[in-house]
Amino acid sequence: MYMPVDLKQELMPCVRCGQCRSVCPVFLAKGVESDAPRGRVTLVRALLEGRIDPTDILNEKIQQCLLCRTCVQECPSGVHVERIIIAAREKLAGVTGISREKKLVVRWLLPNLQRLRLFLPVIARVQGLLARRVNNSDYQAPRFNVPLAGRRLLPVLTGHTIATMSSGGKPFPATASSLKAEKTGVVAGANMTPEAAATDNGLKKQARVAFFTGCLMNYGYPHVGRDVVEVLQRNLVEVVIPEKQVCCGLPMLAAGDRNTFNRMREENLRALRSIHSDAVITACASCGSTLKEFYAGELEAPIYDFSEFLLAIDFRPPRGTMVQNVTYHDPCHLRKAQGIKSQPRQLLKSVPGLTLKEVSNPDRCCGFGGTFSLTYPDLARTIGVTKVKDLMQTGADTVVTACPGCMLQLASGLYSQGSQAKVLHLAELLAASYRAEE
Amino acid sequence: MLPADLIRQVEKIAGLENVFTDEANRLCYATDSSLLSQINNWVPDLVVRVTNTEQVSNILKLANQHRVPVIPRGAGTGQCCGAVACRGGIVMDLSSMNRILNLDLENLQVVVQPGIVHADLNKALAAHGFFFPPDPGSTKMCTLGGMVVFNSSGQRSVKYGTTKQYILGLEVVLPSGEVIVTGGARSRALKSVAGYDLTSLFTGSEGTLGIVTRIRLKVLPIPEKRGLVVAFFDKLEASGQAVIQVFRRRLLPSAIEIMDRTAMKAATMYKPELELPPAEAMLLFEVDGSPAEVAYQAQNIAAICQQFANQVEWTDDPKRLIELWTARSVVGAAAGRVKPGATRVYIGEDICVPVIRVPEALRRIQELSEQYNIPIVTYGHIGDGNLHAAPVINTYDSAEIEKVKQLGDAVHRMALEMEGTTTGEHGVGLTRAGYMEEELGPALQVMRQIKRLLDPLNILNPGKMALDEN
Repeated sequence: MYMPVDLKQELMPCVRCGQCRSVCPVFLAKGVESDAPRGRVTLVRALLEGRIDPTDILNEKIQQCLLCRTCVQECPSGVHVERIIIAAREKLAGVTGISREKKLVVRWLLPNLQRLRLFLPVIARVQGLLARRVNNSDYQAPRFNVPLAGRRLLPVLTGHTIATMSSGGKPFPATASSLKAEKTGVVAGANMTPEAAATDNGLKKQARVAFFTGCLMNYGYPHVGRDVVEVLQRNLVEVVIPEKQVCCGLPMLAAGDRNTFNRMREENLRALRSIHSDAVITACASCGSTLKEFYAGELEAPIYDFSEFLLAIDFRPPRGTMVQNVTYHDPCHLRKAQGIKSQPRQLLKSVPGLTLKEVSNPDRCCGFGGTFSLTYPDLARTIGVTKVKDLMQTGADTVVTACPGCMLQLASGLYSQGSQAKVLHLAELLAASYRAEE
Repeated sequence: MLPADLIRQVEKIAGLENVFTDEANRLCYATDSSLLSQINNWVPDLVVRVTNTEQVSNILKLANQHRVPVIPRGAGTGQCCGAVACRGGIVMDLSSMNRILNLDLENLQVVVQPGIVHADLNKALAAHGFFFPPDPGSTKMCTLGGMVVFNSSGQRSVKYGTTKQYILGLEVVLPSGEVIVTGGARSRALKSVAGYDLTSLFTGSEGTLGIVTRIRLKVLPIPEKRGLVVAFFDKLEASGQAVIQVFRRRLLPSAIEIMDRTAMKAATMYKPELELPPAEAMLLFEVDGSPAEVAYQAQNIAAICQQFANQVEWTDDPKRLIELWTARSVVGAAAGRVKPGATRVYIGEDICVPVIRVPEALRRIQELSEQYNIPIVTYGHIGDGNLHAAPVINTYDSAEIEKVKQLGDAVHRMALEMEGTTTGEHGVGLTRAGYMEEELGPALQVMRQIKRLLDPLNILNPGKMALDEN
């Protein structure tokens, strides 16, 4: 069970130097001390010492943190601001409660696998009424302020999950009875690639991995998950998708709901332990950081990000030429939380024909912040626009990243700025290059 | 509590969205890095974010009428309890006034607003091949306004001096609301002796005489190349000798930094891969100029160090430069990590002594560390005698707080006794106000007369710099 941190000890190293002011995306957008990490740390300290009441304004300041860890990376004294904020949110949740939008997501929708699987197909059916497709892309723009989504672009729901998509199955709705079936995992896409068949025949299999899909990828971007599976198979890796996996729990933790987080964690640990695997793979930066920080030690198999894993095994570079100018956006939870910055670039450079143009400030946060963008859509948009303007400066026709959350935010931001640039997950580009070999 | 009509008028001047009277926002402006601000609860009555000179002037006029203190503040990165409302009142946040108003590089100058961050200014200048030489450790966050009113400097002051050498003129709002320009009302000249040097008066005035709203700064072309000599010494005194010899040989490095045994230990604990050899002191000499000049200076400094040190290395390879600087650049952050469950506090952190006496000062600081049983990590700018001592304590332990206050006092008194100063570059603020009688002598009375003349009602940053008799 994850227990709260010793807040007093976490607070002590902050010497109030203010270096975090130079990087915090929220502070740079708002410019007031209480919006800087130093300000938030000061407020938490005062709250703990009983020098301030948990007012609405204080609550808002504590909630208005993206948990992007840019300040943590910058902090000379090694203050873990994200731990302080999470612990403070938990304290505040006990006093002021959790906001309605967040409750809907972290208590009602995400923790319940059946509800999620039954709810999304309904949305998939009526999405045309709520939103219109943009530029023949896989995105749709809401026709009005949609609850929980606001006016941001959303992926067009296909009714597929990664499992149904990569095994050539039908899109859900899954029936209640099929959900109850006591399967532990599906071996993904047994016939999807020639390599998968070869792996099946026992030919030089490199590894067997459990794929932790994450909610957004599984339901919003299942085709990306399918490509993750394909790239792994092309590298002679057998992929199993544990069926009973649920949300990694980060949204709950970020909302200050530790109980629900611990429940998610237990369910996922059970699902992951039920499958024999050499490694647990995820292609979502936020899920990856959560698994590594709060699950590792409880699992026998090591946890890897998709890009990290590919370079840890015997990686076969794709040979299909992809003539594209791409730029890469570092997801905060990949670069700052997991220290992964060279691997995605190395993989991109392995694709023939592809030109990588570095953006200035590649690790500047996109402003998504998970439920942050539900609660503060305008602020998230402002931060996002700063980011996409940098990306557009590169002149790249494709923005590659490695987190579905960033994909959602960048697609919206680029669209709002009139850019035609596509947003792709690293796995999509690699998979396309493998497919172009044939 | 401020009168309601005063608050309303400030809101009218600065805009509702820029005025904060709620507890949470005010609390965030109650501290800087100083220990003193952190053990007190000096929450201002109101915080106002200003965006232009007119607002500053109107607010000062108003505050003067109501006799309410006004404390100007940039990024709040100070270490001497300078931008803190120890007597309540209005904290004026100038960090949004952060534009470059004029890049007049043919004329070797720029005009900036006070809220511009030092690193942002130098980034903009670097694009044109220029720089503003003073280089505080807080470059990423400190503002130019703060640098001006505290006359800040940094490692390169050995060669380039302090902020004051670069200020050509200032726009200052006086407590009455009157706006003046020093250094010539419309001047773009690089030097001028017309009239009293009011620019110098306001520089280093710590926000007690007026509020700086515009700065005309001299800038210099960026040197073509940099080089670095690193030397390790068995004996602390030998490091001092090496520095003296370098000056005697008519060499002028841009920076000379020292780390004593404690600082080397802290850096190694933080980054074990540094693999620093055992030594009592480590010196870093930075030289800059043309490639030939850099090589000449670095080789000569290295040769001098060979006589006193047991290990010497010099380089002008940019990659190796960064590696060699690492130990020095991490030490400030590393200090707090020498004792688990403790952190660095800022008190007695900025003394400056005659260069020749730096080794002696370092030894005496270590003696004080043992006497008070508080770990101290010391490093600094030996090239100008400025030492940063970092005591590390458990800030939740009131007995340790009391002890470290005594320790800080002892360090300050030691500096004065050694013909030095209590502050080389951080400022007096409230932290060092108690030493000014002793340090400045009768000159303090003249300062007080100047203060009374310009700020008769004592509304600007009151309580600081020992300007009040009480």
